[in-house]
Amino acid sequence: MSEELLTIIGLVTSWSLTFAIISIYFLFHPEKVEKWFAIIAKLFSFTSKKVEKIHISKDIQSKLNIYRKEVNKECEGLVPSKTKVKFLNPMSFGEDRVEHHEDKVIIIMKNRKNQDENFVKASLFCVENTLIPNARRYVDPQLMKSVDLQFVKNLIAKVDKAKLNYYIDNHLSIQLENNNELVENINILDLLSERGVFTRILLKVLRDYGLQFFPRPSIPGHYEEPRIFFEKIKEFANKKPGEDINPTFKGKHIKISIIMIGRSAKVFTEAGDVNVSPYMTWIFSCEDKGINSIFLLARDRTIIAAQHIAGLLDLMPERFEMVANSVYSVKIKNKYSLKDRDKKSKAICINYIIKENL
Amino acid sequence: MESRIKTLDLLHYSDLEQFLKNIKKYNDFKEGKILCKFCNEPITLDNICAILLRKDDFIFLCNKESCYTNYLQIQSENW
Repeated sequence: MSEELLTIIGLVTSWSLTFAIISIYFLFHPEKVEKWFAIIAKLFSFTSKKVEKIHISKDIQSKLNIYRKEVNKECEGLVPSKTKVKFLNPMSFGEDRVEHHEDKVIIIMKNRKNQDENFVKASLFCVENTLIPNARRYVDPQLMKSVDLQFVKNLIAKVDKAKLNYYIDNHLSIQLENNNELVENINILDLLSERGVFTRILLKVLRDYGLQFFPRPSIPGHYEEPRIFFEKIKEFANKKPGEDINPTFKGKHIKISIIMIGRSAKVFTEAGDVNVSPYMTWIFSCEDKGINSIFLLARDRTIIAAQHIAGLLDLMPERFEMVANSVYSVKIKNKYSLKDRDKKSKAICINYIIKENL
Repeated sequence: MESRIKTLDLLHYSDLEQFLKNIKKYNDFKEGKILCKFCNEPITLDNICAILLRKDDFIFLCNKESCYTNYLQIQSENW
């Protein structure tokens, strides 16, 4: 076989391989295809109304679904449904059309130059339909509203930071005006988001709480327990370093303990060994107290201790089951140090269920 | 896990006139007779936010934050 022929075969194979890898990647990440589709449509959106609509809808759809994937990695099932964004054909509507019998919300979109407004509006309407959909009816409406507002803020900060100012100036700040409860809630949810536990703990607990009642109709009595739980969460959000707080919340339906692995000095012996026995004693006492879910939280050097505890719990599969484990980075605000003002830290959140108390 | 799909329905600003004509609301709209469900202000091209289809009726929502809040309240009562 000639050298030229081998070169051609090599080239064709490498191109085919590259094409196959890209195709497989896009097959498993359809939202990335949509994102590129939206970017290309944006370039040509001035050419026709049809292309402009493709840009507007695909831009919104890809971003909502990219964030959905991120959030579900932090806690499975928080946003169970994918979102399909489509423009309605006005000609398909008439007084005699069957579509009228179906309840729906039609959101009015402006042209591409107002995409900040379009995106924020679509996100708000989307979140109230897709975030913990089977649980939200059992959560106090004011708390749920705070959660939605914070969720949209986190969504925008993650997928399209440039739109964050628009959201804060034109929506969030107006919602917060003259509503002290909402202001306080958002401050707490901001702190929880910074620490990575807004989704991993608060939303998970609310989701699990709602699932205990779903699909029963909600009654105001359902609102009480999540409200009291949120008060407990505030203690965690406001906790100062070194301050001890009771890590357990035991309600009628929410029975959890949030175990924060303390400072390195408490966890490591002088010889450098990990000493987790106080934490294990606490976990075993949770078992006796009827707690059914524990969260292990650790940062930086103490992550090894959390993993060590997880290793010990894994040796007792008949009693404990790991249901979530994620390592992430958090921004730690250090007001005493200019150098480390917004230092990034590695953190871990591991969730176990206590089988006996389920 | 089951992956369902929720559809978000959009209507382009430029299609609004045709849409209103089709549902026989355009004249009312022009005359300022279509009001926001929550604040009772006339709906215009500048302030329209969303249209809710409920059974056989069309409910119009303006872009005031207070109306959006009221809309959420109604939604939560319907859950």
